[in-house]
Amino acid sequence: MHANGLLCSGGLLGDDAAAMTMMAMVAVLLFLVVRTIFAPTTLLQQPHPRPSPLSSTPASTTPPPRNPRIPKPRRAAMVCNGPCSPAVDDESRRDRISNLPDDLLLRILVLVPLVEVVRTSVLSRRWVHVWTRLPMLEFADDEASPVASFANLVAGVIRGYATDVDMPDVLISVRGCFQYTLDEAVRIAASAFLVAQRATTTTTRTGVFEKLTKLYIFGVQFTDGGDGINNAIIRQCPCHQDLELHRVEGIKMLFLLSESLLRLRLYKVMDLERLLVTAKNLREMEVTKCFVMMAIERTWIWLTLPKLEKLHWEDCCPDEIQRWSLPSQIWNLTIVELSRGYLQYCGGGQSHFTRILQAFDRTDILRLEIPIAPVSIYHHLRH
Amino acid sequence: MAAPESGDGNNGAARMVTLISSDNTRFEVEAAAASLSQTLQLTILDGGGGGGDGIPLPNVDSATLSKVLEYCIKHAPAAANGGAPNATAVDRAELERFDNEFVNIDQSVLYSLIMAAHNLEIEGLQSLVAKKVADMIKGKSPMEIRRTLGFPDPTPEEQAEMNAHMLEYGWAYE
Repeated sequence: MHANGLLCSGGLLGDDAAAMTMMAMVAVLLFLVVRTIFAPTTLLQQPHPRPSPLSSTPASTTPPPRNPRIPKPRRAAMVCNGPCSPAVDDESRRDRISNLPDDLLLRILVLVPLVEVVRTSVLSRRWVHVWTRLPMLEFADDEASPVASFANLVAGVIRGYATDVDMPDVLISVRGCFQYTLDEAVRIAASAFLVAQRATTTTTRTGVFEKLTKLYIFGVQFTDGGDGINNAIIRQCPCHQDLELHRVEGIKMLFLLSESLLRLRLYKVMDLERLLVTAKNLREMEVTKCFVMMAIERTWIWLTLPKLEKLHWEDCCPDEIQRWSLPSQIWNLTIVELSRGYLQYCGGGQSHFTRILQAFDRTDILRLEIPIAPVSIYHHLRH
Repeated sequence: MAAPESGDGNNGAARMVTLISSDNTRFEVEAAAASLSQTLQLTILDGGGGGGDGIPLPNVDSATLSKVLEYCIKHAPAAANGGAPNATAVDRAELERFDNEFVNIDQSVLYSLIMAAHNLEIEGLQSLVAKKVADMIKGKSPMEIRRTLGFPDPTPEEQAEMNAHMLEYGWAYE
């Protein structure tokens, strides 16, 4: 029922202090937790503090005059975007937007950058609490430049968000537009924790992301070699179904043990040397450009995936493949040879991609993609 | 376009339906245009709205309804094509121009349109008017928003409240 995903993008985890590493790890996780599925329709279904006038009040009959007194003429009132009709009288210029019910106001406010939405709370009494039910929270530090502290902004919004509404999608995007001090990073992580707790239901076990089903981490640099995320997936996410790591650095070993995981996508997990996946319900897996090609230690992959149906492999084959439990036949197997340019970039060498084929006896659909360079280029590269 | 009942004379095969506004004005439009409204679509599919019956819309006055129908008539052909495959860039540019022009209206009309688009569940129009209001808010300070939207001057008490609130929300400002 609750699909909570957490989306985190940006790199922030650059300190080697162990404590920081753990904390930063946590931050990343939290980001993910925050995301409850947001369908536009939920906007209209959210519990409402007061009955929506939609059904009862005819749209076009006079709305309740909130401000009965005639507004005084205003200087410079024509900041108006659109050319208001030439004969604007005060009546036509009077605020009507405030009379809209909350759900319609929110539909407008999701289109406005978060910081500015929060600031609408000082417009009038009517607006004080409107923002606290936003159906989506998207924090991006590159758009939040006007605030003094991004961490304070995140914390403030999370603190102020209505307690009777399910926390919606939360996206915290850190692109490093601010120079984060250790303190700032820790506070962002702490806020994310708070969000995670809210997305985490009644149980009091801390650090367990009960409802988290999707975790998407983009562009993050880990400083703990992967321990934090391994630990989180194994112990803290009992309902986790989708995991995607996209352009992350610093994970050398990825050990994923999960009964609930259905889909796994590893895309440019740049420093990967060892991958162990034991997921008895996993159906789909993709590995693209992850494994280190000229690793000093032997690279390996150990798989226990009895229900695997679909595999997309676009990577060099590790030195060792251990199939503890793989179906002898899978439905869809796609193997893509790395481009010559990429192989060169990684220091030359071969991807040995065909070895992956040997892990399976039969497949319903086999797709092999082998880029063929023009002969001239091929010769050029050889000499 | 959204001509009151008498102005008809369309010999084409297009099926027409009649909509009746809250102040009892009758509008005859092509079923395809009216069907942009999710609310009306089912009724129309069931064969309602034809002949002398008409579909009463007690929530929408005639001024607003004629504006809504102007939108529907303009957008119906594109919607019938299932969005865009056949639409040329020119068609799309024309629709865009129309949309921009369409929301150049004063706030009371905009308000009525928002409510009508919501009640009639016309997805495209809802997005269009929401975006219009969002554009009126974006990039402005609260003071500028107050001016743009035409807020009445706050009472001294309200002003004091807002000042206190602003202090409390220091994290959202510089």
